Amino acid sequence: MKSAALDRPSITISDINGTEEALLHIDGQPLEQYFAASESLTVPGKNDVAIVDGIPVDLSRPVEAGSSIMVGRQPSNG
Amino acid sequence: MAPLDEWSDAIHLIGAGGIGTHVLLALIELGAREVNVWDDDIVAPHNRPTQFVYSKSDIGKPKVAGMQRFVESQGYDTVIKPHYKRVDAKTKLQGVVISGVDTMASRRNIWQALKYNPFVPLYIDGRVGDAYVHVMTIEPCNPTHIERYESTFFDDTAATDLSCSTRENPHSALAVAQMVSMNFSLFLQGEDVKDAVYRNLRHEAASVQ
Repeated sequence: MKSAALDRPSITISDINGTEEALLHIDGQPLEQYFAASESLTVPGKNDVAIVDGIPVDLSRPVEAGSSIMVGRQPSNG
Repeated sequence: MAPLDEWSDAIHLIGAGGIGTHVLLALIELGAREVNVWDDDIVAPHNRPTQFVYSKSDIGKPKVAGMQRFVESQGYDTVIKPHYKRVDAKTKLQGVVISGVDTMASRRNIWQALKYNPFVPLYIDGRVGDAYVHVMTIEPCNPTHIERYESTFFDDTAATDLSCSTRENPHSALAVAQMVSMNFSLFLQGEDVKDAVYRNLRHEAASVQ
């Protein structure tokens, strides 16, 4: 059975302002392009990182459908 | 029967601070027979509110000794083997390794002892700061895990000023302990575990963002 995610490629982006479930017309859109076009999300600031599926990534990286993207700070304390 | 009842290999807990003290509780409840604890720090008064194992009498003494005293005083079956020193490239580690250290420099040193170490099947690295939680669950001989884990290193000078465990923020260390417990249990059952999980606990909990 074909999954809904493949029919409607989506990504989930979270930042301090909320979570946005986005439908991408083009799979592989760079993150920076996505943030620039968003009306509700802010572009990651100087101290923020974009984390895709648990790993910090560069904003020029293309977005893959199904990815979970979070914007926030990288912790290092114990 | 506890999940770790039949686990005969060693368990190493590196860091006896906010994360380490809560992870210890999880390991005890999972049935760990013996836990090797590594830390070169001493107990300070400000540690006590959020690192529940330490008593007033532990202040000024090695954290690993305080942890051992706590476990013995409670009559748990778990035995603590204290190592009052840091882990570095020369440290011989075998078994499951769990860390909750304060700096990326310490993580790099630990990683030198773990990368491609065939005697360590699982390494869990917990990191906290404010409401942010980052947990990496790594097979040290898995090339994909190695590449992804090393991409999470950054210089300590670039670290943002995020608080560690405080009375305002005990939840992040508790969240790491919960994830260590879950991930270790899944590993024991032969289940695949996500190698990287990043959470914003405030974002997950607040109903109005």
